Amino acid sequence: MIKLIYYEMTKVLSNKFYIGLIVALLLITAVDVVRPWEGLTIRDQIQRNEIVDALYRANTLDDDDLNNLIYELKTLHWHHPQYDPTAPNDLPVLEPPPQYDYNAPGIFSKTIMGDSFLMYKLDSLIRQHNETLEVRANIVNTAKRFGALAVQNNDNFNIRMNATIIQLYSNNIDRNLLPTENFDTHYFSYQTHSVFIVIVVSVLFSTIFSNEYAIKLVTIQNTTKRGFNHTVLAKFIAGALMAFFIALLFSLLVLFAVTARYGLWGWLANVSLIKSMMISHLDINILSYMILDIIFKTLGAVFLAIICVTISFFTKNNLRSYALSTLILLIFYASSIFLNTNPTLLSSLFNVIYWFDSQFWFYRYQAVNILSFPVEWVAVYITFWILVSFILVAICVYFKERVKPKAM
Amino acid sequence: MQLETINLTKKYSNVTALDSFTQCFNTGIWGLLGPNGSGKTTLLNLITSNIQKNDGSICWNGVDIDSLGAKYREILGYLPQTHGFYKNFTARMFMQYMSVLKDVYPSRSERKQRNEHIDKLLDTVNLLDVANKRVGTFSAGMKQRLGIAQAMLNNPSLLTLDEPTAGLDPQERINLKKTISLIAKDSVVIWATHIITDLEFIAKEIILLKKGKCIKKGTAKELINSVTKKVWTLTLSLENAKEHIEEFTVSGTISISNIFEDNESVTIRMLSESSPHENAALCKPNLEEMYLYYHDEGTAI
Repeated sequence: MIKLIYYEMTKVLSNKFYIGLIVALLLITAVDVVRPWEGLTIRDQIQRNEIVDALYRANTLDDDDLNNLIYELKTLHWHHPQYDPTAPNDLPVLEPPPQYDYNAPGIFSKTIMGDSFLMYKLDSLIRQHNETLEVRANIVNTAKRFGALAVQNNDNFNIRMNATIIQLYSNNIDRNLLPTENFDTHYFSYQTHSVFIVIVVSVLFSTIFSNEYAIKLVTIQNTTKRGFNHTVLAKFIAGALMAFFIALLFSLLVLFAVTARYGLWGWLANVSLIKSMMISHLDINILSYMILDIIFKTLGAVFLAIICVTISFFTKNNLRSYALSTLILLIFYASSIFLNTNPTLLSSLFNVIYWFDSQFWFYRYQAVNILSFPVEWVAVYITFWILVSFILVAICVYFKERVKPKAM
Repeated sequence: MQLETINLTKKYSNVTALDSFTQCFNTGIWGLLGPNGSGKTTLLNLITSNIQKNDGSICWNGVDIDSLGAKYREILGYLPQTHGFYKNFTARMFMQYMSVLKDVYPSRSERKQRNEHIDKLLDTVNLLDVANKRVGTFSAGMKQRLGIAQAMLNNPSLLTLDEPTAGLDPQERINLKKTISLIAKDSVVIWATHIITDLEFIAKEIILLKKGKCIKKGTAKELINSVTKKVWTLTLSLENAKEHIEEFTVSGTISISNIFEDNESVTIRMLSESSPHENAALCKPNLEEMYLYYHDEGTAI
C-alpha cells in the first residue's frame, strides 16, 4: 500500500503544470505577505520592538504588576521622552510621518519615537480592554442568569451548557489586558492563501481517478493481481496526504514570511489578544493558536481533497470532474452566502471558505443541542466532515468491489 | 493449463457483440482473426474481466474465473488495443509501478530481482537504453513495446494481446513473434488481430470471428485447405483486363484478392465457387484469401 501511495503521489507531482501552479501561488502568497513595494509603517516597526513583547508578556502578570509596568513605561517614554540624537537606528525602513524630521538635532530618535507612539496608543488599548472585559463579564452574567433559570426548571442541558460557559469565560476575564486593535499585521491577517489552497487542492485531485480513464490505463490496471480496486484507497490516502502537505506548505510560508517581515510578536500572549478572537473562549497562547490554525487548515484541505477525489471516482472524465468539483464548491459557497445573514451551524458546515477560517469556528462559545449536551460548533464541524470523509471513501471502495468498468 | 469459454455472450443495447462463444484454449498461440466489430476485443475484455458478460462462463483450469478473483489475475497478462501511460513516468518507473500492482517480487529483499526482471523485459522489447526517459517522449511503437513488456511482467500463464503489432516496424514485429512464441511454450496466448500475417506461422489455431460468432477455426493449414479449389488465377492482356475486372467486381459471386500488372499482361487472383473464366486456373490459396473468403469483404486490390 505504501508503494502504491508513493506512485499515486508521484503521478500528481510529476505533472509540471501542477508543480507550476503550486509554485506560482506560493510566490504570489509570499509577495502578498511581504509586499516589498510597501515600506513598513511605524506601527509595523513598533511590532518588532521588544517593548511590544514585553507588554504582551505582561498578560501573565497580575493586575498590580501590570499597572506598575504600564506606569513605568508611560513615565519613561511618554511623560519624559528621552532626547537621544545618537541612539542607534534599528528601524531601517521606517516611514516616519512627514511632520517629523529625524535628522534634525534635538528630535527624538526613531526608536524613541516608536516607543512613544506605542505609549500614545496605550490609553485606547486599555479602553478597549475594558470593553472586552465588559463583553466577557456580560457573557458570564447572562450564563449565570440562564443557569439559575435552568436550575429552577430542572433543565439539565441548560445547566450543563451555562456552567461550561461560566467556567470558560470566567477563566479568561482577567487575562485580556492588551487587545491587539492596533497590532493587526500578524499571521492571522493573511487569508488569501486559503483560497489558493482551495484552488490547488481542487485542481490536483479532481482528476486523480478520471485521469486513469482518460489515458485508458484502467483496463490494464483491472487485470493486475491487486487490481484497480486496490488503488482506490491508495488514491484517497495519497490525495489526503498531499492536501495536508500543500496546506501546511502554504500556511508555513505565510508564517515564516510574516515573521521575517513583521516579527512574531506577542506569541506567548493569550490568544484573546488577537482582535477577532477577543471574546473567544479559547485559553491558549498565540503560538498554540497559530499551530491550531495550521492544523485546522490542513484538515480543511484534506476534507476538500476527499470530496474532489470522490467526484473524480464517479465522473471518470477529467472535464466533467473539474466542472462538477467547481459546481459543488460553488453551490456549497453560494448556499452558505444565502443563509449567511446569521450563519447557522448547518450552512457553515458546507461553506468551503469557513473550512480554512479557524477564527470563525473558535470565535465564540456556541452550544448546540446534540444528544442533550452542549457541543462547540468546531467539534460538530470536524466530527461531521471526518464522518463524511470516511463514508465517501467507504462508498468508493464498496462500489469499486462491485462495479466493473465499462468497456473501453 | 486451459481457458474455457462456454456460451459466452455479450450484448450492448440491441447489438450482440459476442454470441454464445464456446472455445477451449490450451497452451500455445491462439489467433483471433476478424474485421473491426467482429467481437475480438469484446472477447478479450470478457476474458480479462474488464466487462461483465450477459451469459455463459469463463473457466481457468475448470474453475470459474469470477470465483478465482486475484488468483486468476495473478496469471493474467493483458495488452489492450488502446491504452495510454503516465507521460511523466519513465519506462522503468512505469514498470516498477506495474510490478507493485502485479505483486511481482513484492518484498523489499526482492528489490534486486525485481529490477533485474524489469531490465530484462525492457531489453526484450528493446527499450532498455531509453528506460530512464519519460514515456511522453516515446513514439507510438515504443509505447506499444512498453505495453507488451508490462503484459509479460508477471510471467503470465494466460497472455491476451489485442493488436500487439500495431505501430511496430517489421523488425519489431519479428522480434515480438519470436518472444511470444517462446512464452507460448508453457502459456496460453490469445492474439487478436486483423493482420493475417501476424498469425500465419506462429498460431496453433486461428479462430475466425464475424459479428460476434465463430465462423471457422483450425490451424492455418486447415483453414487454407478449406478454400482449396476456390482460388483462381487468370492472366489477361492489358486491353481486356479492365473490362473483365469490372465484370468480376459486379458479379457478386467473385472476389478479387490480387491484381498484378506487368508490361504485357495482368494477372488476377480471385475467389469463386466455380471457374470464373474459361482460361482461369485453380491455384494454391493463401491465408489472406481464406480470410477474404469467409468474411466476404469484397474485392481486395
